[in-house]
Amino acid sequence: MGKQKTGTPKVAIWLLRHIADPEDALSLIGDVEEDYKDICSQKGIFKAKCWAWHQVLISLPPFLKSYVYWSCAMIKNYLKIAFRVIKKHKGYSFINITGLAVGIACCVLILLWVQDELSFDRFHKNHKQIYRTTLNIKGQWTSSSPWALAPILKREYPEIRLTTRYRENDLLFTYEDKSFYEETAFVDPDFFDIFTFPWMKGSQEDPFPTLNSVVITERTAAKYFGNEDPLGKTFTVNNRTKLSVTGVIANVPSNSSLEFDILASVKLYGEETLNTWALESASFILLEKNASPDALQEKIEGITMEYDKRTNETVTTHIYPFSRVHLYSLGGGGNIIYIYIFSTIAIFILLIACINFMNLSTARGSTRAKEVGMRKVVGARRNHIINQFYGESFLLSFVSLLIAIALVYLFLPGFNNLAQKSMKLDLSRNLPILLGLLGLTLFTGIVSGSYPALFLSSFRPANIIKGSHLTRSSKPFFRKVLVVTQFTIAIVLIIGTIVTAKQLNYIRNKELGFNRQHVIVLPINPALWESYESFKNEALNHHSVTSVTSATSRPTRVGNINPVYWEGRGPEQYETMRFIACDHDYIKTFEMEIVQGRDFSRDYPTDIQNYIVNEEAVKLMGLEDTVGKLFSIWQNEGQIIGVVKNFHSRPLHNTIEPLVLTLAQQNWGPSQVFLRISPENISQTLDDVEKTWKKFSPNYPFDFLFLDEDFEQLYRADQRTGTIFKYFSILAILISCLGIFGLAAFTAEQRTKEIGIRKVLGATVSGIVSLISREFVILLTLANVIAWPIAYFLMKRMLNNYAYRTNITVWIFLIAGGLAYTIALLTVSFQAFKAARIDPARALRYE
Amino acid sequence: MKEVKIIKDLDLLSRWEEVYLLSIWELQNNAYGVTIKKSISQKTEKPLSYGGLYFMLAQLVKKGLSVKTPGEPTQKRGGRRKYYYTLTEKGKKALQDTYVHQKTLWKNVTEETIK
Repeated sequence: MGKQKTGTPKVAIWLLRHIADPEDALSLIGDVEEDYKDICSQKGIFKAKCWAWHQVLISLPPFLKSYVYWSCAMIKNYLKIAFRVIKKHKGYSFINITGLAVGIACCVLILLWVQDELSFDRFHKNHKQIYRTTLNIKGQWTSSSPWALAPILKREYPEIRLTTRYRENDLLFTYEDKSFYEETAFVDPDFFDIFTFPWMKGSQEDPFPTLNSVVITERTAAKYFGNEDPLGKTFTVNNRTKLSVTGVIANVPSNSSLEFDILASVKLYGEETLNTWALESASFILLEKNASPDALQEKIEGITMEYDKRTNETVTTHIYPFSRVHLYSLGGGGNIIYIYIFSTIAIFILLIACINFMNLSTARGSTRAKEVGMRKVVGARRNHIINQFYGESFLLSFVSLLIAIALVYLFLPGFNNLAQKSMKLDLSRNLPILLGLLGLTLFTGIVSGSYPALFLSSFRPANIIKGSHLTRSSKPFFRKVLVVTQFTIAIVLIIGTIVTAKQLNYIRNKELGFNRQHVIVLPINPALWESYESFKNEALNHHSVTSVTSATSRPTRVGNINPVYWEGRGPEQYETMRFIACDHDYIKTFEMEIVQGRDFSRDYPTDIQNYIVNEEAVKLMGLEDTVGKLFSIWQNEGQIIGVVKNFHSRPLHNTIEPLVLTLAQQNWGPSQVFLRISPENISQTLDDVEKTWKKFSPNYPFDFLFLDEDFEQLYRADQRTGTIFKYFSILAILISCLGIFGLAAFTAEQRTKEIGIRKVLGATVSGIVSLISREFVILLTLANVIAWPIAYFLMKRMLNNYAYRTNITVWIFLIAGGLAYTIALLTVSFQAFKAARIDPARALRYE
Repeated sequence: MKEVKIIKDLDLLSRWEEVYLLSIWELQNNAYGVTIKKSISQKTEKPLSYGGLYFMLAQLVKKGLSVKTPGEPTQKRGGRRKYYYTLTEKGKKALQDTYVHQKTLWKNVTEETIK
């Protein structure tokens, strides 16, 4: 035996020692070694090694069992202590749990919103292959597409499987006594194969069996026919055409960027129109599964100028993925910016809530040093203590999670209302959010439990119980960093709120270049258009109607872009300008200002061919004497007779663009009538106008809106952003305040004795309040210093979205900082005051 | 009648506990890891792991059926102590009870009668 080499299997022993229950580990490995040596002398070293490893393997299940068994025995105790701690410090626990719950709830709401935005148009089965054609006319992007383009694409390119044109129009649908304007989309039959709008009734194979067929949504069917079978029912459209229902499809989901209630065949526009290259529709194409969009892009780039003889090489045709349409604008930017902003806010709020939670847990953890000491004395090992504290913080964060989910269900309807969406929280289906929430709970639990778990468990029990460790020095630096971070975020959010509000206010009060107050807008209809002049005269007979005009677009949203050229430039060197076709009184009605030349006038019959341009157009043309020069839109040549002062013809996100006005004629029929009314007695005026309206177009509803309301609509998205920003920054501040409220209370409590002694020695209440607040003032100042440059940078980026923007003044920063100081100091001094008012005798007896 | 009452009052052992306690009792003053394991392996004719052994021993100690006392460290064990296991009064009583109970339970039964 003595001669034989009996090297102990070190690795196996080491393994056993570390996985065995520490209580018995030493005697266990002693036994193993003894056995090993016996086997070694009897059967040789190889067999012995095998045996040792076999022992390790078969010992694993019992070790696991033992671990679970002993943990279960302690869990009851841990839970009991955890609930006792929660009960003993009701205030802290409340602040801690609520703060985190509100933070998580906010974050979930925002994430739902982001998810909803990202889900736009993804419900189509083929969404990856759907593209929209776009044109680039001299650097200007337009999503309109020529009527004739789609059929050519389908015919010429095998990689394009299906194409459809898409044109929306508001039409008046009448069935028996029900009559409404409906958003109608005119499409090719391929539409139903490209997009996934499920059929409820009728046959998808032949959506439009006759020219006069329409397909309606379930909602529309219920609106007109109630419970009756809609198939075969006939609508009267615009009091002229009869269209009968041949199919019913499911309602268009709220996350669809195509919105319509009724679908009709595009053929209703007539072959002649459909063969033109007028940019009056949109086109969608479905590619074959394996087709390369880039290759196709290259091939079709020149197609428009190849077929359309009126244009030249600067018009290029492009395809754009349909699933990007909602989030990304053609020229860059788009809704994606809101996704970034809101995601950032969500992360910020969550961060604040987590910081709070950690901060308070850490602060409270240090008061439990004695408990840790006791536990160690009666035999707890370090890993027991670690498990206990981690378990406790998991428990708290899990309770917060449950409350947060309840809060989300509670506030989702309100948030839906605010965001104009219909979001649902379905945790069993929404895997990313579910996993995110669980991950988050674990993360918060781990981070907030780490300080007490790792730091406190490392103390030697004797020292703790003697009280020689310093409670006050337990990582105050870490806590300070957390407080500063929290307030930095809150201040940035306050500044964000103020700047957004200021920008919205700026937009609302911006001088637009025309008067948008007291103007009624009405959709024109064929009956009215036939006798437009008599309607106009009759309306002007009401003394409260001061002016009447009609045009292709409202001055607030001019969409049309057309190629133009002028004296000294031929058709091949054209530029593009926005354009409005109107009647003689447009400039007068909107109170725009003519800076050169004259307005359109009935005294000059040739004005029908003449043009008025805006100052921006003058700048673009760079002519010396603009008035009197020749000018053409497409091929229609005329004279420039006047220059109108620049007005904002587009939302203020955009700069003022060159624009031209012309008189409406046969091929540029106006779509709207505008009446300027006097500000007094508006309801009487509306009654009068309605009577006149009914007289000229008896079968059309008097469906008016005010121009200033319409103007507000343009910024509804911005306003919504502003509101959401506001609510969430209020929440952020609230949560931060909860945090320092708890922290101040903790500081005050820890210094009870000190305060008592100070008071005995003659300190005043105000002196003590300032003593406790001083620390927080320093932290807040630091937070301000950090927050200001960050906020300035972020707000600059945000405002870059607007062409016309308010300036960021020092005042905003001072107000935000001041607000943070006020709120924080009120919170802190409340606690400090409470502490300072305590009778010193009681304070000294404390503990 | 009497038997029913006994079951209620007795600390009845599980089969495994019974085997362990018996082995410890049989080994008298020499009951430590290696010997206990050997004895149990013989009784059950099944290989046993040290992990399983110590899990069970720890439970016996927790239930107060057995106690462990440290012995002297030896060279053979890499300088580690043996821990000797002995039965407590409670453990002894539990063994006795189990024995009596078994006997009364099987009183009228022989190998042949169970068919």
